[in-house]
Amino acid sequence: MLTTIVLLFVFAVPVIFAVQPMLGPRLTIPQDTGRSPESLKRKKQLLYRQIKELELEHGLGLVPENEFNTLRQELKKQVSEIMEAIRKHS
Amino acid sequence: MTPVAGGYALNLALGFSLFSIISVFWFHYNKDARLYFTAQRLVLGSCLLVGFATFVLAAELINSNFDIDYVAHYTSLETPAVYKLTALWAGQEGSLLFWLFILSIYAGTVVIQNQRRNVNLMPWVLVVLSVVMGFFLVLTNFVANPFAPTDADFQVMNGNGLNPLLQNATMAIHPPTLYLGYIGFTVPFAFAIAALISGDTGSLWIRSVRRWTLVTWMFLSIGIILGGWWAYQELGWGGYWAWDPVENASFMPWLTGTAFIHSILIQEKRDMLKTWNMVLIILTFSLVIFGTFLTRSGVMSSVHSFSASSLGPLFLGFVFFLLASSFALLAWRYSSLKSDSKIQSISSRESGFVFNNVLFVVLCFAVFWGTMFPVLTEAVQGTKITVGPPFFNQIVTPLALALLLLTGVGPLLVWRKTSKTSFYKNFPIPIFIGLTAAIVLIIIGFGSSVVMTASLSAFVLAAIMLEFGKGMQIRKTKLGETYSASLMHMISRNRSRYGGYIAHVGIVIMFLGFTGKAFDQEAEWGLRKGEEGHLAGYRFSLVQLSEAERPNHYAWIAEISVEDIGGEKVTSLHPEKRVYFHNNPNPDRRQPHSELDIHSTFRRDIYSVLSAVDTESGTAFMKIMINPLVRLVWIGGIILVFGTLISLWPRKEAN
Repeated sequence: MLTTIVLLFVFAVPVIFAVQPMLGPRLTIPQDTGRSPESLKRKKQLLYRQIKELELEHGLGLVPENEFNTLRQELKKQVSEIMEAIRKHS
Repeated sequence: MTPVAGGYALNLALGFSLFSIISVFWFHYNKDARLYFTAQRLVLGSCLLVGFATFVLAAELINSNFDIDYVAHYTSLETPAVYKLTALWAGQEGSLLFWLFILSIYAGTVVIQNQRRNVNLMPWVLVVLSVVMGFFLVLTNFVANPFAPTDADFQVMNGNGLNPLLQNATMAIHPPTLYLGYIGFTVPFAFAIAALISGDTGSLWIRSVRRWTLVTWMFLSIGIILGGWWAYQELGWGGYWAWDPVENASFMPWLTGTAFIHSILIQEKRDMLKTWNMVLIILTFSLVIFGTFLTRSGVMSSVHSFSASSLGPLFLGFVFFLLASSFALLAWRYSSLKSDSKIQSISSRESGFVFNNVLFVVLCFAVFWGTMFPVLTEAVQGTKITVGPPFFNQIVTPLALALLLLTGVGPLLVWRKTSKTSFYKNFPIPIFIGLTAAIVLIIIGFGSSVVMTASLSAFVLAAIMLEFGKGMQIRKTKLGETYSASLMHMISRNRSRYGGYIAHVGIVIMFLGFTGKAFDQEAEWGLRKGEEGHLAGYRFSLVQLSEAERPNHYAWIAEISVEDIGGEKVTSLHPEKRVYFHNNPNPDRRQPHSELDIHSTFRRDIYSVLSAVDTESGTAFMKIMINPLVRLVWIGGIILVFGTLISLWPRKEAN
């Protein structure tokens, strides 16, 4: 008897867990346009990482001087834009 | 009652997988997010139910419930408890459930990590995960049910027991790690397909799967190395890789997976190779399923394969379905995968990566061709023409050496174009070290293969050391750090790059270990107590031959004293000849097995096998092998894993 109850519980729990969202009101998910604060922060970290990597590769002699300057400038510009967007959000 | 519950759990899990697919499609048209969250929960529920079923089977194996056919087939009352548990993946049905269990862990982790993230990709990721889970659930529900009852009209008092070859500690770890590697490729594949379906084919999916792919690749590498270690320790032929079809089945996705982890770097940095990356991950995952087909269909005879079954056509059909649907999606999205960036020079770092990728794929094709040739000849001519290790060694060796060369050349190349100035700045030292090593080895008298491998290894190591040296010098000059501090900081702040280099060092050391194979020596003798044999400057004498009865086998144990040319004792070896299930009244069911003993040093292994025993004359028939540099293979493997772990270690983000 106890085994049956335990097994019913084992099978009922996942079913209830799975259908539970359908019992609430209709929901919509905002599509990820890449402009949410979390998304912007992630992008900022990624750009920082790219700048650091670029500087290291330049130091190692793996990126030519003119390309280093152009890319670094471009990445820094992107960071400024993102920081501005984050500032507006906050 | 509980075995039945295991079966019901699998039924319900299949239903959950199907409904999660339906929910996502419904969500796609309806845009009601409740359906998306329901799909997520259905996948999680399916994972929990598979986990429950796995737990039930494991419990029945440990409790020796011989009413279940699987338990009766792969365990016996005498099987030690730990091997009762490892019997979970010893047979077809159990290993399919175990496959599902690992896939559940991965799928559950993906869902939990991405509950509110990657909303463009995740619905389709759920669909792919559910399709793959659904396929394996169909197999475990309808074709290879691990909970099927014993087909006997009497009570089964004892089981067949586990194959003695599988009663080995490495075997307790090798299959799970290999499975973790194999199955993990489902996740990057799911993200790739999701990117194709959603049209979000930028670098988002690459960033989402980079870490997953590395984890998976690391487990596959560990699994392959442990498989070699197990073969070396257990099979008694003195080698670790035999180009066995099932070994090849794990090696092929490793090759394309390795190409993939290199080529995604190009997409991340240069926004190039987008289509190629899709092709690579589709091929890798298809090869995973194809490898499973090879192991489980019975088309290949191998020490690893399961017996012939009806699963073959299903797996083959699934491979064709995956390839056809994936490439159809790829063709549909081809225009969005085109890149504006182009490779500007053959001497660029990008070119180095492309050459590396081409070599990996050609190598994979060569292994695929050699593996499938016997099957194809049998299908076409009616006779099976077996392709052995000489074919593979002949084809694979030059390609592998070319890859080794690129491992050294790659870090020295400059993005876009390596100018003459850069070439003269980066290349002379590694080339000088490689050439010096070659000249020294030629003077000593080594053959061309050893000279080639060792000099290339020296070149690669020099190139990597140069990279480390330059990085440390920059930090020292800019920040005034000591060399040791700059090394630590440099690695910890650029884990991906330097972890990768450390993994390359591991590969080089493994290559050096492989060269030792050219110098293997072996001898076979029948010795009685006090008699001796000589090999490679060592004297082997049989000190005694004893017997022992243990819980699950009977053993004859030879004590062999090993002395060097000067008469100094090196070691004592104790190889055993065992008979498992020795108490079984049916002699056909008793299984003989040779348990080896190995004395391992950096220079060489002394490898002993007790092949047979003549109890009447007290003669021990033994095989002794001297295997140089084998330890380097294992050490290289450890360094490879260590380097990958460094690459994987989460970084602390700077503000």
